[in-house]
Amino acid sequence: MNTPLATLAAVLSVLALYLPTRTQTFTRVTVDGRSIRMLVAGRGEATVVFENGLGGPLELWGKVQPDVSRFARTVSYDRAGAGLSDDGPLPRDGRRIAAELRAALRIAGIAPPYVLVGASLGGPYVRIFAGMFPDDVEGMVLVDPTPDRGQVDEGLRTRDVEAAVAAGFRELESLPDTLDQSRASRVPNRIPVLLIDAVSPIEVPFATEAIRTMRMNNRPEIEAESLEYREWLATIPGSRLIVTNRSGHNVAQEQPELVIDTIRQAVKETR
Amino acid sequence: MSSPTPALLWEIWRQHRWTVAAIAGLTLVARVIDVVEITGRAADAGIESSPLVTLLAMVAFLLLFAVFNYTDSSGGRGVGQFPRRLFTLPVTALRLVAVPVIAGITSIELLYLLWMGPLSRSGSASAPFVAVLLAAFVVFYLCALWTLERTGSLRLLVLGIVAVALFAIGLLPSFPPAPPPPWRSEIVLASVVTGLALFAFVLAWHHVARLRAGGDVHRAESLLSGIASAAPTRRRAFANAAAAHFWFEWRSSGMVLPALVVGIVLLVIMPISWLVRHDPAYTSYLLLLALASPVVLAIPVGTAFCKPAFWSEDLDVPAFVAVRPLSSADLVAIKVKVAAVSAALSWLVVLVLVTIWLSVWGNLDSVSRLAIQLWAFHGHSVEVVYGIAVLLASSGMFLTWRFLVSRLWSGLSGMRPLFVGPIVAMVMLVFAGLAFNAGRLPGWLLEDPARLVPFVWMAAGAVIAKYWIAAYAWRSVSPRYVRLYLVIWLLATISFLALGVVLWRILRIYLPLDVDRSRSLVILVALIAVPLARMGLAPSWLARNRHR
Repeated sequence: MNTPLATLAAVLSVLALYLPTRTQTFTRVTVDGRSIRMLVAGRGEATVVFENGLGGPLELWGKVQPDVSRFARTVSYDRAGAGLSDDGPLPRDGRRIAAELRAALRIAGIAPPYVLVGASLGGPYVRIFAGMFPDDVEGMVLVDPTPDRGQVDEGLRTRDVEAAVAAGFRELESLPDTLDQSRASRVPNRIPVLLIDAVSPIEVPFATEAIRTMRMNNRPEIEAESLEYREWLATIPGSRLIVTNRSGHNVAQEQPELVIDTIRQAVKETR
Repeated sequence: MSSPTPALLWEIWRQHRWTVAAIAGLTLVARVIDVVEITGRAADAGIESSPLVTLLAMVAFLLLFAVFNYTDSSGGRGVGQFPRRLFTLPVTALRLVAVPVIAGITSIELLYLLWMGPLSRSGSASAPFVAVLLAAFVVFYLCALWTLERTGSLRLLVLGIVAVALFAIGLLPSFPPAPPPPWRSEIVLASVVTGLALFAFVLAWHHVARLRAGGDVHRAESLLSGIASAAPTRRRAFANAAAAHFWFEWRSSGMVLPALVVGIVLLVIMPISWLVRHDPAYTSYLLLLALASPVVLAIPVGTAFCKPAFWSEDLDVPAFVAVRPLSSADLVAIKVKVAAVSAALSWLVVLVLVTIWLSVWGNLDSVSRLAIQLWAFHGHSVEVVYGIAVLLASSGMFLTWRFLVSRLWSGLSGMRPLFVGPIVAMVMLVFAGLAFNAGRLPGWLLEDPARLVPFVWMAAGAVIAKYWIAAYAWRSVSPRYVRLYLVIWLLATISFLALGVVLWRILRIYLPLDVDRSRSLVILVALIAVPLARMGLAPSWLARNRHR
């Protein structure tokens, strides 16, 4: 035997035997006969529930949930039809999704109240949840949520929706209804509401002329969203707007530390 | 036989009648499968043929080329050449050449006619254009076999490049803008290819005629020797035997990969990149193709590189090498060093050519989008993006080198079953993967994270086996070489590990993976990727081959 290599073999053998034992444990619950995948982690007095944007698996919170789990109990899950959960019944509007989430949490034995964290389309969903079950919610963090402006973009009504629905994103079919429901939902009294508005940096490295132009063309839409957030938050006492220009729409991936800090603040305010 | 032509055709049939029967059987089975699949397919399903049918088509066409491998083995060298025994027949050289060529063209057209239904569904080229390209390839194939007989295995590389070039020509009319300019129309391209095929035919005819007349059979070789003599050559004495052997290995085998990479990038990728320079969608694909070319080409080149003599089909150590005043470990170390230089140079060439392309006429929108995403994902750090680019290049270089040296242990052993066995196993694995639609495997694994478990344990078992075999295999190798190789192993492993972790960190966010198991798998695969146990075996296997 070659001694240095035998030593290396011994060390790596131990590592090779240890690595396969590392595993993530998911929780499976059945809601109306359909299997829903959840990842429950951490311990703490508060329970933080993550709601994804359109179509993404719970792993989208992979840069956030482990850190939040250090100070709270956390739950991320695949909505019906996303990730590894079964498809859910139609229509996939916000009220149905909120009801399914509540049922899943109850079945998994995760008692309210919850601090709800919703990203993108998850924003309207958590607002609807809070409106439907105000006693179950003690705080909300909205991460660059989909605005519930009066009119849905023409693109979201036609071509884009058809393509997305064809790709399996059935929730978009019900988007106008969901946004109506979100607009109509009342935020429970005296709960902290923190909203992260990601306005994207204007200048980015590696950009070609075409990309710079495209980004400039998107500015009015971003500014309109910011205005809408401000107007909505002005109606909620104790709410706060956190504006970041260091991130685009995917804040949980681009600036996870900001999302973690915001959730920490929300949790602190609930205690 | 009443005339020589039927006799020549009868001989081809007689020698290959079972192969022809196999082709007919495969075609029949595939057509039945195709009809059954089409009938049972939902109305809104895609129209492309199933992977199994495509696989059977590949096998049928490969078998046809085996039928028209119109050569005889030459004496002790085992290299196929134009059948000399036919020179005594009372026919002209033109007929000797034309009969197999025309029979080959007729056969391939007939086979294409039988397969046209399933094959034409997934391509954009018209059937007559494909038919012309196939006929031309038959001519180039036979021309290469006959005229390059002294180059042995090199013919396969030449044929590979010709096949890639014809494939690229087949795609040219479909590149934007549509309709293509006249020079890229199917008619013009078909005319050019036909002209080249005619030239190749005349070349082959001329060559065979000269052979038959006992003329200077190696005129092309003389020409090459003349050029080589005129080129600057080394005059200085070598510092030692190892330096001399390094130079010999480099000249005989090390330069092949960089030369092929230059050929593919310069003759295929860069011209295509110019044609599609206004369409950003192609930039990413072509960039990927360019970056993958050294790695992909290193696989077949590595098969020849790992033998004692690159251009020979013989696995015995040539006397010239066997008597060098160098130990077997020295010889292996020199091969490893030559492979490293070859891989580094190939990547340098690719990076230089790609830089020229991207900076002069490349449409960078898609690449820019990717870079911005990486920048945003990694905390707005430009340095990290550059770091990932460097990591990609270094891992690609190590992977190229790995494919060049990983089979030295079996190639240098001189044992044909040991050398051929893994190649056959790999080919069968590829075919089995195609037959059972292995492309579905990632999707199947993602459906349930628990399905990753056996793969993680298999990788763990492979790591344990590999490192203990390595500890045994390196027992009699000089400590100097152990230290040196461990440094290379460490650098390559760190590079693979770092790239694997970077990719895993990105994928874990978008895919429903069990992050712990998938991370374990990435680490274990990185620990397996760099050959260690096999490299330890190479010197002792070579010693046995050298001294028997």
